[in-house]
Amino acid sequence: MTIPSKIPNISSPFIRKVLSKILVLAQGVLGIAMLVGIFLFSQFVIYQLELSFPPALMGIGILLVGLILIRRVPKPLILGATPILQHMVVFFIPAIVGIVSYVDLMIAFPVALVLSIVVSTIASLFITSWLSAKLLKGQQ
Amino acid sequence: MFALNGIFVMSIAWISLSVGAYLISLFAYQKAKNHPAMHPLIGSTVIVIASVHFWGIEFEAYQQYAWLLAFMLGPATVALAIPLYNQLRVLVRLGWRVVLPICVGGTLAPLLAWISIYFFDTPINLQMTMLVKSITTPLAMSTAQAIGGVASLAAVFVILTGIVGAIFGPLVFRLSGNHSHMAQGIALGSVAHAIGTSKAITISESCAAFATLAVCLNGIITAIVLPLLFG
Repeated sequence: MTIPSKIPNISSPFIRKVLSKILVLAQGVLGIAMLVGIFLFSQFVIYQLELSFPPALMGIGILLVGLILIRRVPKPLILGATPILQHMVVFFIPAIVGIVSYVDLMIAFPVALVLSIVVSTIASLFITSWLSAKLLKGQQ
Repeated sequence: MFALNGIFVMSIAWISLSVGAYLISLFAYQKAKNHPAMHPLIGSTVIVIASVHFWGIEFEAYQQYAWLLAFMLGPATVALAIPLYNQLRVLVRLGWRVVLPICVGGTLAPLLAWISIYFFDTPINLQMTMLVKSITTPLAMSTAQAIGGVASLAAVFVILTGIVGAIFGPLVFRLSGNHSHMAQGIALGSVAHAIGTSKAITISESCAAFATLAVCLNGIITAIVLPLLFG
């Protein structure tokens, strides 16, 4: 499938506007299709080789190598990836509602969970912040 | 054919409801000036759980209907390669000065969390799940599954960790004498992942860039290392 990269010379400003909107949308859909393709390919390879490794991680690797080889991010990928990265939260919802099955488990260990989620996060943040400030001192 | 139609209609209905719940929560989040405690995932989850309860369907049934939404998490995670690619130049230029603190943060956060729950006689699946709490949700969910944890618990721990990191970030930076936006970004990204990054965006552009770099790098390294250790 080829999508024209320029809008044909049409005098009506309204039609031009609509056409450019459609063009952006089509490129975005193409970009998302590329991401889905890479993900499905990774899933297939990991399934075939029976690896215990997140397929999305392999997808990141494939896309990163591809981008390094062509040395730029193709426009359809930018247009497709921007909205799904920005609104990624919506894709977590189906998994997170599964939490209802684990409420008992969480209620059973309140102190442990507060320690590990609140206290240890603040401690790690403090140490990482201190170390990176020390290492990056004077860097631009 | 009729049954198939039913599933199709139900899928559209539940996916629309989930997206609608997200949009409402997103609106509330923006109204609250992007306060981390108002993270849209909290509102969306509450609305969806309440709706599932109200219509009296099984949660497993909801997850089947919303299959497409869950599937799209994979391709969305693949898209993380793009911000990582955009930050590659910085990574090459500063080298170990950024990689070291990201690795330290990425090791310390799960280690401290695991130590704190280890002594409470917690079940092993809870302990394994806690190990992924500082990496970005999509990688955390699949990594948790790979090492014998629970994906949905992982998502909850990750989100809560991110919220804690984003809320306490500014205070921690003052206490640790960290005035560099680059260093603040690294700390936020490697401990508080994407929620930390959304906090970093409000600090400065370079803070956000370093946070993004830290999220991608820490997520990838953790997702490779943990299955090798515990898979």
